[in-house]
Amino acid sequence: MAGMAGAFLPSPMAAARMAGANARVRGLAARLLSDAQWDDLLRAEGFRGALELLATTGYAEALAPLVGEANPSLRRVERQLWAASARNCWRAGALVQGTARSVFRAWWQHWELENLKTVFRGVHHGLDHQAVRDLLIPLEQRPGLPWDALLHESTVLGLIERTDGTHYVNPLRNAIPAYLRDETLFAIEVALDVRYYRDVAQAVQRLSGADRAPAQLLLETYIDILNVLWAYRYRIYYGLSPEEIVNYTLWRTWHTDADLVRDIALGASPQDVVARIWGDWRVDLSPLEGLAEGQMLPLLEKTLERYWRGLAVKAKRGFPFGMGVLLGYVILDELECRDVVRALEGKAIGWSPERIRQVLVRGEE
Amino acid sequence: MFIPAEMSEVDIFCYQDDVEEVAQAVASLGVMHLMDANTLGKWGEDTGTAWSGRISTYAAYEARIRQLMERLGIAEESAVCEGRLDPRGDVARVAERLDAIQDQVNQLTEKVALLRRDIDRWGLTSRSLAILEPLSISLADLRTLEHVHMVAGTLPQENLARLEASLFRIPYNIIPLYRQGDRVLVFAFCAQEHAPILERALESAFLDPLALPDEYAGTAHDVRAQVEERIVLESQELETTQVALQHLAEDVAGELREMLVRVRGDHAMAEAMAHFGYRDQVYLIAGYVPTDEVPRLREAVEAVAGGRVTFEESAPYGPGQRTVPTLLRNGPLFRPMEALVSTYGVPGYDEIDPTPLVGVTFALMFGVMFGDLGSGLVLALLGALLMSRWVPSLERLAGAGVLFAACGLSSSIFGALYGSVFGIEDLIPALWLRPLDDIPRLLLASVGFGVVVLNLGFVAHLVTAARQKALLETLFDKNGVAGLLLYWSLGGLVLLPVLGYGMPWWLAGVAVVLAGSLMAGEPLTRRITGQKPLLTAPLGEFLVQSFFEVFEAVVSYLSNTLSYVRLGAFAVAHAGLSMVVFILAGMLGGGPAGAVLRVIILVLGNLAIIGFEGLIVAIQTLRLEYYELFGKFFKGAGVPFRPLTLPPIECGPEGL
Repeated sequence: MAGMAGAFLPSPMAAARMAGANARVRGLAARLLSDAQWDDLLRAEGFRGALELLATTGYAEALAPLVGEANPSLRRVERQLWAASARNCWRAGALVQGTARSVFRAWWQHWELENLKTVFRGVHHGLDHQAVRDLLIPLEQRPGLPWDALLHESTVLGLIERTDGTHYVNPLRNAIPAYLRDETLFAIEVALDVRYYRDVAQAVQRLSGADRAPAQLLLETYIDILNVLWAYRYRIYYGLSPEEIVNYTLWRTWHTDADLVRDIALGASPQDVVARIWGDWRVDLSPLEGLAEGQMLPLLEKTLERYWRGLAVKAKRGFPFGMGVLLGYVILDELECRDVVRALEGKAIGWSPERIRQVLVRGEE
Repeated sequence: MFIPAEMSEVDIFCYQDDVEEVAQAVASLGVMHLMDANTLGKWGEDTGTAWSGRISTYAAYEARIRQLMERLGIAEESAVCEGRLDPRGDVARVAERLDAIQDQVNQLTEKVALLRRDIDRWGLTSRSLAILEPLSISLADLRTLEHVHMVAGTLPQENLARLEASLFRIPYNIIPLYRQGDRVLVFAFCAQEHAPILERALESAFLDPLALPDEYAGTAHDVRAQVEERIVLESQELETTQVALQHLAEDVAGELREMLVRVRGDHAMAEAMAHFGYRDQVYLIAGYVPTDEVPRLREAVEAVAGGRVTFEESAPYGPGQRTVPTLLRNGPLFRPMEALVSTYGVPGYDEIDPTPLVGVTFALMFGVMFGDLGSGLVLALLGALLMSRWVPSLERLAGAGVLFAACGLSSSIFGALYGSVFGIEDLIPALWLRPLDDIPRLLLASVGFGVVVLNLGFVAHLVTAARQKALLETLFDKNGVAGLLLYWSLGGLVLLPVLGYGMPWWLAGVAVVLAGSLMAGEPLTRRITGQKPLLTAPLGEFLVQSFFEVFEAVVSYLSNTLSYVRLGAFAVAHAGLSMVVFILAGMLGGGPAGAVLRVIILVLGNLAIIGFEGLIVAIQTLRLEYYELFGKFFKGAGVPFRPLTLPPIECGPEGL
């Protein structure tokens, strides 16, 4: 961190900043749901009951804008929860400086990226700008994109031109021929994803000293996981050719490269791939044995997500004045937000607590 | 001066149909500091949420208009706003016009982008054809190669290596030819039977193929000529479109500027109206107005509302109930000094405005510490330059110019008293003393100056406490009457023996009594005002606490006074620093080169002294003001008077 966790003998200012950031994160982490709160949430009476219960937890601030609404829609609730997670990510990185802050800002941008994709989808499908606006995660932090202008564009090409001056414009322009040819947003979204996660990896690489190790472990592991899952999805769900799979994934990440992606494209099993990347003792893929590919993939996603969560839990309990604690919290918060959304969705369709528990990333703590 | 402007609390009740007119009249005068609706009790409960909602709408429109102007290269300038603001109606009108203009702009800019892209692509096609030109074969033949499949196009440079890694199943050849920006022009070849694999790989690497339409026939040379012709035609079309865009920008520039002014005005109005109270179709506009401005406001409001308005004026609530905003009214000489005070805090409504006191003492103390006729005149000239607004880029520092000029003049006066010109100590005679030659006298004079300033602080505290009708603070505070007398007594106990008058034991007795009165200040006040119980804490705790408070007060009198020794110390340091510059210059060799170097060292040394030492002295002066003087009487917990105003707009004949 410009200065701090990068060295074991930090400057007083850097140490004070890091202590401040850690104190803030510990305060924020106290708002994460406890086991008892999770049990209550899963046993709550329907969607409405779950929502009322959430309003008594650390999510009260997130749900405050919905107070007074008789029946807030699940979609609206979800967007408020995502916004809260984005806000927490921003807060966690607000007190650190230099390259460490760049990492937090780069990671935070995935919320912005989600919104940008939503705008593209809205414009592609001809939605009214107000309808698209209603679909966006309400991010309060400093906008990096001219949202009002974007929302008032009527064509995808116009949208791309409106991102001129941002780091999104080049990958988007590169995807124009594919968009015009296929008339789907697939190439545009792939181009955005590839560019974004490459930027995150670069931000991590710019860290120095002891800061880089936890950031690499947490963020670059996630990029590894994404790259593997993309390759499997392209093979199983999209039926893409090996050449396309290599081209639509990241060229080189911390533990994956074109050779590994090529092997996945040619039919390598998840067990082999995971063992090559993380060793076969770290991630237990035995439940995948004997499953058809279509059934195997959701389970693989869940297993890898749980592995990632385990890394975050360890990092959060680690050296108290390092990046690991901050990033560990950010990841746990986001994963908890995903779980809460899943739980609410489960409640909305009447799933039992046991059924919902199966789809959660968090395990019994 | 010294006392903030007297305020009245004004309540304007108007019917909801008149509220926009009334609000605009209030805003146009810019004399009313609004109270928030939340402080208006029942009136705050139904406050117009519609206006709160519109605030973000106006902000969004403002952003859109500015982005549109930026796209069209239209500079933001002042514009005439035709007619009155109509915050409710403007929303729809602005939205409609903005959408229409944006559609036109989008059409033209998208066409420009497409044409540019086409021209770039045709340029690349021409380059590829130039490579094929020596072959002198028909392009139709190239398209129908029997055994080899060929694709030409551009792809992102960063994707090239990954593309090659992906083509592991077939033999192929990819020849990068030319780099344009972050893309590279490539020719890719493979066997005909592998064409689908190559094509899919190239597409997934975001290849933009350079496909020639069928109408382009002939050899590469012939086709290239046709392509060049097409480039010329498209370039002409691009130029025409850009001219059309420019004309559009000229046509809508005025309208967009006016729209921006209007939306900003509407935004300000919405912000204000969201603060108004509302009940049963009646709005309450409540706020604080300088008392001497109330008649003007009443007249303006009654004129626009045609009598359908109730205007009530009352004295502001007392301290502790509501915070009355503070409007400072200092003359042009002292106004720039308000920044020095507001950096510490805004004076409360019932506090003294210390700006004039700071204005005088700041310049004086700066002069004492940085006494140099030459450097002072340089600072004064710099101040005059800033005040004259002669250099446009420094216009925003015009206020600071007064401070520079005052400090510079003070510095030159003390420079004359010290006989110092740019650090040269023997050019002019010292009218008072030379700092390096008479250090004790200078330090004693500094402490004497400090005693005067601190006494001014005591007086300021007494006036403030009396204004606030705070008996304890007036009589028994460490800065009140008892504190002031104790300070003088202690001063006498130090000075009289030094001056040879012996130890005044009676004065020591007076000091003990005064210290006792400070200790017993709270119970004495409670006794005078009839409050019970006299002690709010157990006796032992009270005695220990009040003893240490008095002890701390005595120590602070001493430390506050001695703190002013730095005035003389910095004057000595200035002379010392100047001497160092002369010694450095003197170490250079003789001859013309040495003389030039000496002049350079002297000039640079003096500039460094003016810059760095000036800055340090300014910081020390500020420190003396904030900690030694302000600590005596100034809390700075006030709220600045921020009246409801509209953004600076010029309005048309029917305007505000």
